[in-house]
Amino acid sequence: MIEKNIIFIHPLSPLLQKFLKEMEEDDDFMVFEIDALNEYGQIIGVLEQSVTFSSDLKKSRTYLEDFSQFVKNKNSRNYLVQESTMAPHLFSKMQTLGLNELIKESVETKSLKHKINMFFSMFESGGDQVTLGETPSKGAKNQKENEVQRAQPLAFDKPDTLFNFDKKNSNKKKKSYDFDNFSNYKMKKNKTDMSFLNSNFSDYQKKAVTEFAPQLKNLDLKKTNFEPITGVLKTNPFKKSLEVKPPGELKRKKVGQFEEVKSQNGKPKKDPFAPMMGDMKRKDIGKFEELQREVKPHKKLNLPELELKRRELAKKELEQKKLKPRKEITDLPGLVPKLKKHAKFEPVDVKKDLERKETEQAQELKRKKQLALDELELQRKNAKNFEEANLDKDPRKKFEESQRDKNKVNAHKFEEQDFDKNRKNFEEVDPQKAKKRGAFEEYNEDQTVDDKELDLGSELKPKKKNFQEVDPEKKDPKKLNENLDDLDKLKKGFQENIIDLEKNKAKFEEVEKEKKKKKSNFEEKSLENLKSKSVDFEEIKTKRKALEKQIEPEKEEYELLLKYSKDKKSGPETVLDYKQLHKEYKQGKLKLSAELEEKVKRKNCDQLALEKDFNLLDFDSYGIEYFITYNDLIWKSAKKPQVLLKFVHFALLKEFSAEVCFYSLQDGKYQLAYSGITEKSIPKEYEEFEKFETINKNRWETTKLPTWSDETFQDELIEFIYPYYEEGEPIGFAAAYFPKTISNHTDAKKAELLLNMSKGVFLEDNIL
Amino acid sequence: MKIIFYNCPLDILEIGAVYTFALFLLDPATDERIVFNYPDVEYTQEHQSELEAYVAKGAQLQIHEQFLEEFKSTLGITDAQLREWNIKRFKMIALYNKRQEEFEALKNPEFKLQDTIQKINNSDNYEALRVRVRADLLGFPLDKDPVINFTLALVEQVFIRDLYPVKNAVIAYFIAKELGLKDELVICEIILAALVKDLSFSMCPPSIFEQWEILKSNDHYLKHPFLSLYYLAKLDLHFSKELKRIIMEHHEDTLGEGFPRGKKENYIAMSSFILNLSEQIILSSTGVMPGGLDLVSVIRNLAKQNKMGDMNLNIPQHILESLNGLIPVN
Repeated sequence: MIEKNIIFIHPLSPLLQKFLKEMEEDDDFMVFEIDALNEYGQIIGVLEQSVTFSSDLKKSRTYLEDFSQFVKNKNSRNYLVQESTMAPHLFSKMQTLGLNELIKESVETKSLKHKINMFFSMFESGGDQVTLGETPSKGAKNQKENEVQRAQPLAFDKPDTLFNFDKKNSNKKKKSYDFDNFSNYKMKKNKTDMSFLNSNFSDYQKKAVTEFAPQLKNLDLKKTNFEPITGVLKTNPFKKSLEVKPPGELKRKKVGQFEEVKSQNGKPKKDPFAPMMGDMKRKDIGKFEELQREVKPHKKLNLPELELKRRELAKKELEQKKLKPRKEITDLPGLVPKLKKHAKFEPVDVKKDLERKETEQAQELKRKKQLALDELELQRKNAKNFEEANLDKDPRKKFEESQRDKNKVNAHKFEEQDFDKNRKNFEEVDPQKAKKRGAFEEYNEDQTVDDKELDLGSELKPKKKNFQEVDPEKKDPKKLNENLDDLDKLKKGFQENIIDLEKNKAKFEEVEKEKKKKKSNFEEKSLENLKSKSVDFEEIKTKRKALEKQIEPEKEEYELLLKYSKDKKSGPETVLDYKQLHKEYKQGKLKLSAELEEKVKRKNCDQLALEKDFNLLDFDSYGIEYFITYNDLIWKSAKKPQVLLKFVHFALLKEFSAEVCFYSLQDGKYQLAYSGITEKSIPKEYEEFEKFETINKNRWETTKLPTWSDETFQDELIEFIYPYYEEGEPIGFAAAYFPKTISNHTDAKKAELLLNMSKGVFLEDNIL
Repeated sequence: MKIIFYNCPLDILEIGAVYTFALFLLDPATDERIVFNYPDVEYTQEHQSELEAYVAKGAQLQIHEQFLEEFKSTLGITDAQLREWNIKRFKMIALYNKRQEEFEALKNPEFKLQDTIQKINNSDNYEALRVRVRADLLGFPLDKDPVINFTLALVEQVFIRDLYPVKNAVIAYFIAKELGLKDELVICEIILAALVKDLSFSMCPPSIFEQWEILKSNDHYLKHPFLSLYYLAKLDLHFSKELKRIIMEHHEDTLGEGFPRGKKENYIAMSSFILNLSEQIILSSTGVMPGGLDLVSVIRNLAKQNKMGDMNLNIPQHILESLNGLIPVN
């Protein structure tokens, strides 16, 4: 077992910091952290094997230079961790100094650990290693195995026995143990003989290689055997009509056809397409070259001549095509399936076109005939109507019937228009419709007022559609009058609302009067008694609630009006249908607006009341700073209780300009421990403190509780006696004098707390 | 921070006048506000008497800032008068603005904690850290919580010298920062607890602070977290439960070997552990606790969980590891 020493030179990069943590957790390694390079010198000299990590280029250079005798050998490894790569000349310099590797920051800690293990394993296995060329004797080998076998059961069965002091060692033994002895499985040796690579190729081998002609598998045969499942595809309805074939089937046919071409002639066909389309073999290439030779004259490029020839040929071909019937093309046997397919489609299309033309012509004839018949019928009907008109005097029925007939004729004419033609045809239709409407209106004008009333329902429909588009000013005077009637209705509604509100107001005033009567009784009470109670807004709230309840029935209308009042700000354009109403609103005819505005204002104010102001909190330390200072002082002046008492005096002096003296009970007698009282604090009749003390001491001693001479804090000089107790027994007291600096109980409490600060001092056995 | 509602007295209002602004009434006890008089409504004798009754009960008449200009122009109110009526809030706003300005000026991005600790190690002067913490606290709000305000006021008073509790608070603050604590209230609670946790030392005989061996077994000392709470209770201030808890638990440890209650890890707040750790750092580095190491060594040993002397390492590991952020590089 060797010592695995790892040295980390600070400063460490994040990777090294992480790695350091991992290494510290691992007990196999000894980790050294080094700040100064002097320490490194002390350590490296002592260690046998070590790995050094650093992430500072300068530091690593200096340690490599300074300690090269320890560092530049097989027993140590030096790694530098950096984020970026190093310039090659620098790296080579560092390498000469002893740097083994430059590691990038992005590397994982696992790989670092692996590197270390690899390095140390070299030394670990060094003792057991067998040098090359030597073979251990059988006896020694067996002995070793026996030892291992003897040791193994102990290590496996009783891991915590006395023999297993070091668990790591046992683990290592486990790793190094040869399990092959217990296993039936044995690795087979690689039987591939590659010895031929060592010698030159023999003649036979050379020949075999040169004559080697790999035979490709006949893939086409496979393709022909392949029969895709076409059951589903055959049911395709398109297949029957358009003869569209599934791709698999087409492919199969293609291949099959080429085979047929070959078999018919016995020899490969001179078709120039053949070598391009099918499987071209070496033998076929010769034929292809012959074909090329035949076409070769074209290669002597004489462009104008060639162009002329080409054009002549093209013309001839066209003439031939015209002369030949199309059926011949369709019957060509040797064509590519694609061409054949197209050829088959053509006659079918022609037939269909012909049929369609025929049917269209027949339809046109029929339509014309129908039109002629309709016109005849119309003429007959007109004649009949004329006759009946003389008998029957109902103009409405007459108009309707005539209109129906007209519509019929128009509909027929409309059918004649082809929708696939340009848009003009549509535009031609519209004027007809307009004419229809015009005729209807003209007819209406002729009718009496009673008839108009009957037709109101039918008239409303177009009105609604064009409601927003039609300017009321441009409207007919009759329609305007109707709108004005609507407006009047709305106005009436508003006025009713106003009346209701006024009624509600009257009710509300009555309720208020009653409440006022009650309130007058309430005011008679004295206000001082109410101070302690928290303010109650209940009355105002109940009033508001009562008002809200009264207003509730009109809530919907109110909301509508509120919306309307908001709209007025955005301009008259947005109030589309209320233009007239808006005009009146501007003129002030709508009396509700003022009230409405008031409501809006009130609502805004109520919302403002909900806003929150910032919290006004005290910014005060409440004298705690004296305690904090005392806490510091207590460590430093543990032996000097007088200093601590003086500090309490200082705190009282600073806060309240107060003076204080402390007495401690020692040996059953109260003795002066600290006197901070000066002549200023002593009343004039006592010239000296001693006289003052002798007169008052008895009184002070007998005071059992903290006592203020004036609880109202009105006197010029206020005395405060503060006795100290420990477990119910008196231990001392303080007598403090405040020159009218205590004005309320909060100040008094603060002064009491400051005096309490010195309590610990009286717990001492001797403070004098 | 901004004043939205301005207080005003009753006597400025005239009976029979129609004001274009609304009059608001605030109940300070419930923090509830209502509109007393809507705009364009006559201010009558009835209104006056009703208002007087409410104000006598403790309500406060107020004007919204939206109506302030109208209010000033119609009643001829000067800025000085308005300031006089709202003196506390004007002062608070001024203080807040001043603190913000100072905060902006003292923002020092070049501050490096580890380097500063290294300097303290050599000089034993915590001024740089004190100044930094105070500067950070300048940006805290003044209207959020009474604990924040109390802490900030106390910091202004005591962060002028290297007192033991101040050093403790400074270290605790930076540990809290290393642990990622950002909430202003939590940070203020930690600082305040660090400052006041030992208030009751004044109730212990001073001689026990002379020797660590005597101190650690003294009955008064073992009860001091309780007694500190007793002192705080006398202040009549509303302290949060969390603050009281931190003070009570600042000597407890994960194994239940601490005092005064011997609580275990799951029942101890993280802030309490922070205070425990910061106190150990200060007492060890100042020589009160036996060991005689400098600040950096103490921090490094605690971070590595190397026990020295009476150091209590029964603190959650992640809190101890947070000290790595305080260790100087070189």
